[in-house]
Amino acid sequence: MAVALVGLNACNPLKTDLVIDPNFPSVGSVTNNATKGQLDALAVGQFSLARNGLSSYLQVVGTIGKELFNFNTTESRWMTELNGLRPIDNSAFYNRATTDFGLPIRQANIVIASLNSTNSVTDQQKNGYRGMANTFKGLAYLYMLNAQGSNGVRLSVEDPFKPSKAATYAESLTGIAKILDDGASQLDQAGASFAFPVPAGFNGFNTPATFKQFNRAIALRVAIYQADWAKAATLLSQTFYSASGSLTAGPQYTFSPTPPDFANPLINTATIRIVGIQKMWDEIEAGDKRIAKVRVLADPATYSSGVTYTTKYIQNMYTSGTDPVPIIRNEELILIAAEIAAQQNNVAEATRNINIIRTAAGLPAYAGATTKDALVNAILKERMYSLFYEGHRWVDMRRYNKLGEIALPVSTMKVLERLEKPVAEVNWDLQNP
Amino acid sequence: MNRKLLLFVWLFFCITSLVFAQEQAVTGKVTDAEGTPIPGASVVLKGRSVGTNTDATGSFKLNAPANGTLIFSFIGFTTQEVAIGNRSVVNVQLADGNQQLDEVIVTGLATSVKRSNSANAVASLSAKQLTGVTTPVTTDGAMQGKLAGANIQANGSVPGGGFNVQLRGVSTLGSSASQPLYIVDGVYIDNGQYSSGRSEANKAGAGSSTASQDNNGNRLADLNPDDIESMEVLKGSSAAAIYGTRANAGVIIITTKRGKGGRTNVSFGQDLGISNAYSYYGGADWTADKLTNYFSAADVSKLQAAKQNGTYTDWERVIYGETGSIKNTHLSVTGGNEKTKFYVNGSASNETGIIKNTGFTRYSIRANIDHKLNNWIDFGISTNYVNSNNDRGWTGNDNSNINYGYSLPYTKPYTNLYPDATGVYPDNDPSVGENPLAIRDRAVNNQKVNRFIQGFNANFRLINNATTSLTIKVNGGLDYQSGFATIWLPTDLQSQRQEANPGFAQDTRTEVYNSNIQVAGVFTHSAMGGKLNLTSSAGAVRLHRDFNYNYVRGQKLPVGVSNPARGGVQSIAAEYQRNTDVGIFAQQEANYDDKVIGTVGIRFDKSDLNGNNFDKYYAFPKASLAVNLTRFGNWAMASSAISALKPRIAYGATAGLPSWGTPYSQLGSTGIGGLSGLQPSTVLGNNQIKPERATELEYGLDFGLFNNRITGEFTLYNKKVFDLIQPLTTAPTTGVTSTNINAADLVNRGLELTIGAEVIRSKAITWFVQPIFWFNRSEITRLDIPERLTGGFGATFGQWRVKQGYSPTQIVGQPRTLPTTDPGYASSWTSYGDQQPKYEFSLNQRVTFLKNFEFSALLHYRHKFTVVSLQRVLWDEGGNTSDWNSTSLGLTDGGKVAGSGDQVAPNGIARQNVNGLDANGVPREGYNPSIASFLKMREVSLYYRVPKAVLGSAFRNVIQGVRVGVSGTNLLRWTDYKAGYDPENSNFGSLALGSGVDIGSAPLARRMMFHIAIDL
Repeated sequence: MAVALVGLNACNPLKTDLVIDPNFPSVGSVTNNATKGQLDALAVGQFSLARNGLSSYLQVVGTIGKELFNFNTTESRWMTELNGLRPIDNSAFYNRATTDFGLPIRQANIVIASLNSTNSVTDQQKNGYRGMANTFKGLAYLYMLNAQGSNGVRLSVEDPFKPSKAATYAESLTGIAKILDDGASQLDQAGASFAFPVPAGFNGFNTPATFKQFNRAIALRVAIYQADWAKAATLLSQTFYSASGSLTAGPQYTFSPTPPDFANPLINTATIRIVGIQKMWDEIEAGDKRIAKVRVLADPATYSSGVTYTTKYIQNMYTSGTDPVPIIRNEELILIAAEIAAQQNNVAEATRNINIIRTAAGLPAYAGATTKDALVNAILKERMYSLFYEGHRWVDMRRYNKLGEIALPVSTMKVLERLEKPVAEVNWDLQNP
Repeated sequence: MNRKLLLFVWLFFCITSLVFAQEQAVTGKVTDAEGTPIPGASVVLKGRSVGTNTDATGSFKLNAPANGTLIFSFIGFTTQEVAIGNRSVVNVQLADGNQQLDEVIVTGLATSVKRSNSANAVASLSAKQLTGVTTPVTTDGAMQGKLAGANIQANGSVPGGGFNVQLRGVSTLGSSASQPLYIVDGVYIDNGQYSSGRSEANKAGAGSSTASQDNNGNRLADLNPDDIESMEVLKGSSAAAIYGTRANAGVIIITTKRGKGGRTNVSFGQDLGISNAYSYYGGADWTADKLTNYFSAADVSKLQAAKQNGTYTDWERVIYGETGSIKNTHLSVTGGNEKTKFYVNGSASNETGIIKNTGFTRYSIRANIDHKLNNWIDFGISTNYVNSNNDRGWTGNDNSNINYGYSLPYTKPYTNLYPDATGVYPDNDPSVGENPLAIRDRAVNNQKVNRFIQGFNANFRLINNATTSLTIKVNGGLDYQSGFATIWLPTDLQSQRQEANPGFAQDTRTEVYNSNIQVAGVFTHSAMGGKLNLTSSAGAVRLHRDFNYNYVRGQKLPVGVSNPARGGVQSIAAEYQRNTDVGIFAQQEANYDDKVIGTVGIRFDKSDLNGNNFDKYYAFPKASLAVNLTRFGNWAMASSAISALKPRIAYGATAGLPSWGTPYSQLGSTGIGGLSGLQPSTVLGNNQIKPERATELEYGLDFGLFNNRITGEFTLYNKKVFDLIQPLTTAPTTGVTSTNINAADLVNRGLELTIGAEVIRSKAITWFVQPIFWFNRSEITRLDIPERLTGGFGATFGQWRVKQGYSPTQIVGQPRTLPTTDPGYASSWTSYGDQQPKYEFSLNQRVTFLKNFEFSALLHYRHKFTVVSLQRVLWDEGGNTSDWNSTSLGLTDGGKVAGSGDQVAPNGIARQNVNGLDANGVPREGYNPSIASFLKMREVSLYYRVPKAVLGSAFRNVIQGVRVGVSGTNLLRWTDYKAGYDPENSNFGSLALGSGVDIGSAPLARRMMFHIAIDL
């Protein structure tokens, strides 16, 4: 009885108090007069969030593009719905692009808003935070747009209750290019170094000037999606493109299983088995070192839930929870250089760049036809092997209107043109016409 | 406080002198029709709250005015009113009566009323109804099928509980408490389901839903059902209004057994029993053709080898084919004297499941002590310590090959799973990923709870005279619970070896502390010569809840090590919640000669869960009226048929609080490359949140026929819930997926009919039947957010649709019904019925015969409710469904009706990828939700009471009573559910919307027991 009476709170038994969240800091605490420590924590959060949704994205677009399959032991929809064997579901787990990439966009918007209402860092330093935030915002939008395709994306989402309508695909690309360009010019005015700590995966890209090369590389991707080859040629020179440099040069996402970090989500686990498409790897040229991206199984793996498919190749790129994942690599830039040249009918430059890749892969020089179409097809094929499990095959074939040319591992499969607009986006528009 | 204290002191010294005017001592004895004393019968002075209970010899003594009237009552007997008429000795014989018209039920926080005068359909269950037929594991299980208006669903068959109790339909859409409030002897007890981390270990939560998939029991399981004397169920807002802000899902008031004084009674009881699986699901044969055509031809040699050397095994029957054992023991001692009475009960329950290494043990000790300090002060305490230990096993959803509920459907009978001579378990096929026997024998999923529940009450009768009484009642208590959950997946398991950081161990501590205190004054006044009785009560309540949760998780463990601190990768979590509610209430009751009984009352509540509205009082009014028509004139006497007829109507309001955290916009922590950062939660907080509020109008007719041999209770209700908290699902591109707002209203309408009839009442045989019929219909009447789907695993398998004009428990799914070009295409889902049944019906029967035999049976029928099931999908994909090989469906691969020339596919193939309704509007067999019904024999028993004469001669009256019997649970079941073991199942626990999903489940368990009870 005495114990319960103590619960009476001594003086006024009818008093209640406002309870401050004992578990988390609040968003409100950073949106006004943020300290430098808070801004830095938000900046690190921006780097961390750039990895949000990565595995789901790469595995979904890889499956749709038929470069890999996810033999998931507890979920047959990877094989059935994403391969057009059953209706695509606009509320399913695989249709997360706007959710996963919306969060880094919000983070960027919070960073930018916090900077506008604090004096804890200098204006020059502010531009460093802004340029970094806009770069990751542009990258997140680009991933989102790749998944959503012709559905487009909402380019203005600062107020969560008043988002803009989705722009067309072309408008979306223009909008993303603008965000990246804003970031680039902010980086230009950010001084010699960033005020915030930069994760080790960005070594070589951790000053405003070098980070801008990364920004321009993403902008370059946007430009080739726009098929704006002149602009692409200009951007190429502002990136870290190096004909003689390491193919793996480029910023990376790093991982650690120790919280609050997390382990590399692209590795194979007990349930998630990322496998290579049998035909694609059977047909790789003899001696191609890129075969190391997959491991050959002694007993082929068979998937038989909803559809039956057998392959002897299993992904071998990531095996440890601490393996880093490239964001964009010199190898991609070289192939983009080849593609720009091919599009601009510069056969010598195109083949020179193709051969950098082929030589590195241990293959003889390119000996095929040198028409524009032939070169583009050759580049697409090199991209398929060079950029395996990096999320390009499906997007590449789509931008060249070649989805129909993707070999179907199972004849009843289809190649989707895009994912459905997620149900939450559809409903928001229905409710807020 | 000071002013109240002064008033109290003044009352203490000034008014006690008024007490005990014009009174005399009255003694007497209460017996049954055969002259056997009835201990514990209630003796109350009519019109006053003065009373006592008979002692073990049936005797009583109290002070009463010579012209007063005494009311004698006891459960199971017909109440009698006897005028004292100047006598000092009043002996009474009570007649048998099965009906409960005369029991006392709660109407306020400090007052009660006779059932025959109640304006609400308050269901109550006695100890005999709850635990008298068979011994339930948990209290909620004991209520199944016994309450009109209650939809009670088991979440699984593992011992240790896990029930979803829904009273009168849907009272929240998920943001407030979906389960009723439980109050035990005045203590608000905790009934949470607490995470053990199992969904993290098996990654069940990695899919589409973030809801708990730990498949845990709810903590009502800690209460020993055997301690319960009676239970009252306030189903709706009209009855529960005085409980205010926590009462939206109903209130269940539990009173435990107490000492009755007199001779010390020792009672010993022992149950011994077994349980086993009711049915199996798999068992399809495997042939070389089947493997070649549909699975892996490479396995043909393995199949042939297994068939040849006799190792071909149906693993489902190995895992689920165990016989569980049931052992319950209790020893109680009750007794006391005039001033002090006690009840002490120690019990041990031990039940193992139909799966090896699952089970539940509970040790409980209770001491209830009441003391009468003097004629105007009495107090009591109720103390209960519980230790429970639950091995929950590994059924339900899984994304990591761990759960045997998930891997068994895929496991081929030609794969060997038995350990070799050195105890090493062989690997299962890589496509299944784990050996279910290894999980069963080596993985740990255990929850232990130490719990202490302490209640107290004290009554100060400041005034007590012929016409007036004033009592101050102080009561409350605390409920402290310390939970310790362990999860361990050994490092060398097949599934763990595939992980980057193999091995998983988690140590989770959950500490829950609830306390409550209530101070109330009750003033009664009798006017018009005792014809008009007025009861006024008022008081204040304060409730507090403190919740602390933390865990240590270790992965990358050394082989054989289960301590998470040894993990190469570790993570920790801590979560704190604290909450205080305050309430003030007042109530006025009036009873005119038991003819017209009316009540009005109001409660004001505030809670710090309401964000910035933490200091705002919300009002909850109530009013009710009952009229006993048979007491007007003597028309009822003239017609021998109608013995009671009472129309009644009641209205009341209650609320449900926002769940913890609703007001907060959180920044979570994240990290990369050793740096720490912040990132926002995708859920935006709302500090303007208000409680969910309900009003209910309930009306009905109670009747008794043929001297109450047949009684009935017919009730209609209309419960409206306003300001339901819903996630406003924003466009996720904004980085905000939702914020919780008060966005919806809904209405529940329903009908409840309970009839009790003594069909035969003779010396040789009595036959009592009690049919109960009820249904509920829910509809969302306002929705300020876009319609949304929730629960389940995506529209392919069925989800709950929240949409204005529809039931919130409506299940919809693929395919869509409009062409893709239609603007409404995206949400044009196919409807698959409602999770709530069309109606429920139960039939309780009790037959006593040959004097000492008693037979009881409870049948429960639930008609047409929708179950989202992925269970058959798993078994079909794995090739093991019992009818997999059959072509009885006549469908092709792809699910089309086979025409001439088409190849008919085995059912297990044809059902895959199938969605939609058939020509008759029935869901096709496939991925669709199922619409099912069931009839279960919930309980059945036969008892024999050894006659007193035999005991007397054999044991020289040392043994007062011996009862032996046999009973069973789920001995018979009929169902048309074909998509899994049993339509009663929930992978998602007691989720308001989304419970009842059947995936990776285990068979229904049937229990059989032998009982013996000895009274000394």
